[in-house]
Amino acid sequence: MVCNYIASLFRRNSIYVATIFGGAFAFQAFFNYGVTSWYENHNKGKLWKDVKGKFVEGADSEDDE
Amino acid sequence: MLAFRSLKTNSLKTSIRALSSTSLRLSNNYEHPDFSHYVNNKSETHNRNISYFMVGSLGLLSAAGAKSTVEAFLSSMSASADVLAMAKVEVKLSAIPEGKNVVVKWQGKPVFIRHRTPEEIEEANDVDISSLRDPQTDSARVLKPEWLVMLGICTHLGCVPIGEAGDFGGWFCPCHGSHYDISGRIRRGPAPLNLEIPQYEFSDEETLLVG
Amino acid sequence: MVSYVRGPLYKSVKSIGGLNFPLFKTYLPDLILWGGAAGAGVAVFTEGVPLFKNTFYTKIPYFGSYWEYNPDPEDVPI
Repeated sequence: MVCNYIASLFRRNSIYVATIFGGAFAFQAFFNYGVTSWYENHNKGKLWKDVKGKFVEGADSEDDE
Repeated sequence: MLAFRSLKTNSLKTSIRALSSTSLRLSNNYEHPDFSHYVNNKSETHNRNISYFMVGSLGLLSAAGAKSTVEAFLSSMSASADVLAMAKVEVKLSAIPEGKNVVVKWQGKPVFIRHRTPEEIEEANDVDISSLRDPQTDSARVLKPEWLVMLGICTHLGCVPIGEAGDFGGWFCPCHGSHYDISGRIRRGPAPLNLEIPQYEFSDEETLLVG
Repeated sequence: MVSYVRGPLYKSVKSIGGLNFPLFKTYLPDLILWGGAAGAGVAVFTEGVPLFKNTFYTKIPYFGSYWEYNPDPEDVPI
């Protein structure tokens, strides 16, 4: 049962704290990844990586200031 | 005061008693509302696990939030992209003919670059080091002898010296008359030190990277 | 003839600061777990540090590529 597995995390303080920090590490990576991919999907076509091709090709001659 | 005095008189004793909550006669016999439907019938362990889970989740979110806050503060202290972009200057050396000076701006300061001729290098090496005010060999001031790179700020009071001038064929500071030789060393005048050498490197044969 | 001794012979276990070996052995699993917890705590706060990213986190299986950062060299200010 899922409840028992979760309950086993609370049995020792050390496991509890380790789970919290491990979870925080995983959480921030996944959260960041999720928000970034949502943002990039939402602004598709306006990001530098999307429009870079339009500028870099012709800009080579006038780039060296 | 009135109450205190009245305590002494026996006649008021019963009324004082009536205010006391220990009196049996005043016991509350209202009907309690029934809250039993409000109490859950889960086991104590289950309820405790729920509490631990909520506390743990809050700890997890706080840890992630604390880390983000700390990181935001720390990264605001590091140099921003525009500062990093200005921190180094690239100079194409092929554009500087032998025996010519070039002044480039680096972090708001002038940097003198001189493509020295072999005679000038020899002249810089021939100087008797012990006679100098700030003794320094020419080889200690250059990476490649033909390229002299130094900060164009007079070590006296911070004016910008004039190139190819002065009594020693090097630089001359017009403000108070300091003469620098072809290696940028102070030879005459009030300045105490040689012209400063910035951090630089030759990223390839034709490119100088100052900074 | 019975020979007597003055009293029972005590032998104390070697200990450093009140911590002896058998006691330490019982503590060991918990110490390891706490070490793991501390390591996870450090990992949380060093998640954005390039040195830690490159040495540890990019080597995490499956999700490790999240920490890889390879921008086009021309997009980086020198």
